[in-house]
Amino acid sequence: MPKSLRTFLEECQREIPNEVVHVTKEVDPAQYDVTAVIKHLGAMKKFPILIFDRPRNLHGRVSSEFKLVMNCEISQRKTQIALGVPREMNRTQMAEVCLEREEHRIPPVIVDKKSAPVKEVVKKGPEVDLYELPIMRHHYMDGGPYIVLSTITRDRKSGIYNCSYHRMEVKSKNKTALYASPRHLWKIFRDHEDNNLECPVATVLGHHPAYHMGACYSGPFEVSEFDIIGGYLQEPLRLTPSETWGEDLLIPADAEIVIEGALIPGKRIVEGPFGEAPGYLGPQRYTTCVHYEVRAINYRRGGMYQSVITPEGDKPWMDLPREGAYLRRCREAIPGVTAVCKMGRHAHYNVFISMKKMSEGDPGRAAAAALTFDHTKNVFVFDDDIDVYNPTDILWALATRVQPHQQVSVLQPLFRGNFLDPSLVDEIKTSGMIIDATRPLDRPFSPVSKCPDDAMERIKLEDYIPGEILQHIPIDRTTYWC
Amino acid sequence: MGQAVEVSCPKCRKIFVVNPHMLGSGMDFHCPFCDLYFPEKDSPKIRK
Repeated sequence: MPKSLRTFLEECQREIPNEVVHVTKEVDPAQYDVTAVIKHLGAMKKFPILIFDRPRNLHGRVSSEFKLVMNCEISQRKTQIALGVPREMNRTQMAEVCLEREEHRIPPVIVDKKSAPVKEVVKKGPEVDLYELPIMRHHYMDGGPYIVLSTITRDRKSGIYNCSYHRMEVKSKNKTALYASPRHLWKIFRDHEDNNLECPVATVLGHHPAYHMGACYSGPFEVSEFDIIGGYLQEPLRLTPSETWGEDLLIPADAEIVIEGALIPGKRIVEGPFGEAPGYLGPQRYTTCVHYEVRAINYRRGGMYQSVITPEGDKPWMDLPREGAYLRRCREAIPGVTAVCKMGRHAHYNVFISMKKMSEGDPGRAAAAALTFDHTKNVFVFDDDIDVYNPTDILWALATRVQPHQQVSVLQPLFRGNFLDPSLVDEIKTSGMIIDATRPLDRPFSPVSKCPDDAMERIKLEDYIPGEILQHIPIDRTTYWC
Repeated sequence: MGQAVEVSCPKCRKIFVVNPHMLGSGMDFHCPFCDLYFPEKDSPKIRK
């Protein structure tokens, strides 16, 4: 059976049944009910998959056609299930799996509409009504209800498909304002607009987490994300013709819900504010906010609508592919790089690298490689004994291995920054910083104090404190940062 | 100039943030609280 959100949920129900939770009480996603539930759970460090069985739609009525599903991409275990990798695998190994999947791409296959579950129900023309979906308002001061999952466009000349994430504010039953940051989708749209053409577009509102992860791919324009997604799924992505554009724009056949339509040339719409991944409200804007006219909605019976919000603390795991991209770039510069961490609300701008340093200057080269990618602003480089996913280790290394006048380099505002960075004082350019928190090679440095390895190996805790006593000792969450 | 300008809605008086490029653009602002679209000149207070 082809992979879909449903096959993923079934697998989670088997493997991690305690982490699949049905919420049967009625919720109103447009009144922040869902956000509040997720934030309360996040404060308890709990991130189960949530299936809201009775969400209200934007008309305020309990939707009989759709459920709302959240948190499929959050947690290491769920991501392991999505990627089909063993539970023993750590995050760096999983990032390496992402790199391998991106290198071993699998092209999609096309199926006819009769074989496409997403075509079980199709609404076109006057029947199109986005308000029938349980679309969320995510944060205080958001401009309206927002759709936040990935959008499909296709280059007019090469036919290459692009899947990328662009928030869109729902403006009416068949219109959204899509905020196009200046990446591949913007390039494709502008090419259509320069020729006064509508740009075919579709947005996938529910699918297997590996689909969403593959759509996070950040690489050359010439690479079709559908091939990358096939690599992540480990099987060809099944595609089917859209209603609006036929075979000129294919959509995922096993998606839960797909909206499709056109980006209209020559029109800009006010959009925002919107609470963004860095943890701040992205201000209202219009210059790159495009009119997305929705002309058809395709969905499976019992369709499951998905959304994501930035949880407290770490980012969703679906950003793991980007971490793999960092790992690749840094290792191309310095093969001794052991891990790259891009987690957390700081994740757009702070990058933490660990390495086996062979030469002075290696940290600078690895940092320079990271600075070429995405919106990196501050790069911190550590030795490989530092766990770059652990803030305690990071803060300790910064405190004890850095003399700022020698090891902190402040970079001039030469780099294209990110519009969502509230600290920008220039319109788009950002400065940066490299902190080399590695130990020097050219002089002695005090060894880390620890218990000898052979003593740790020799002493078995259960020989001194029986298991029945040990299990009742509470975990102390006050002694470390995390 | 920072990236956020505070704009006050003429109807509900609540404050929301807009990008500086909205100022002088001729585009109406949209209040996220009361759904009002209004021109820049109608805002009782704009803070840069």
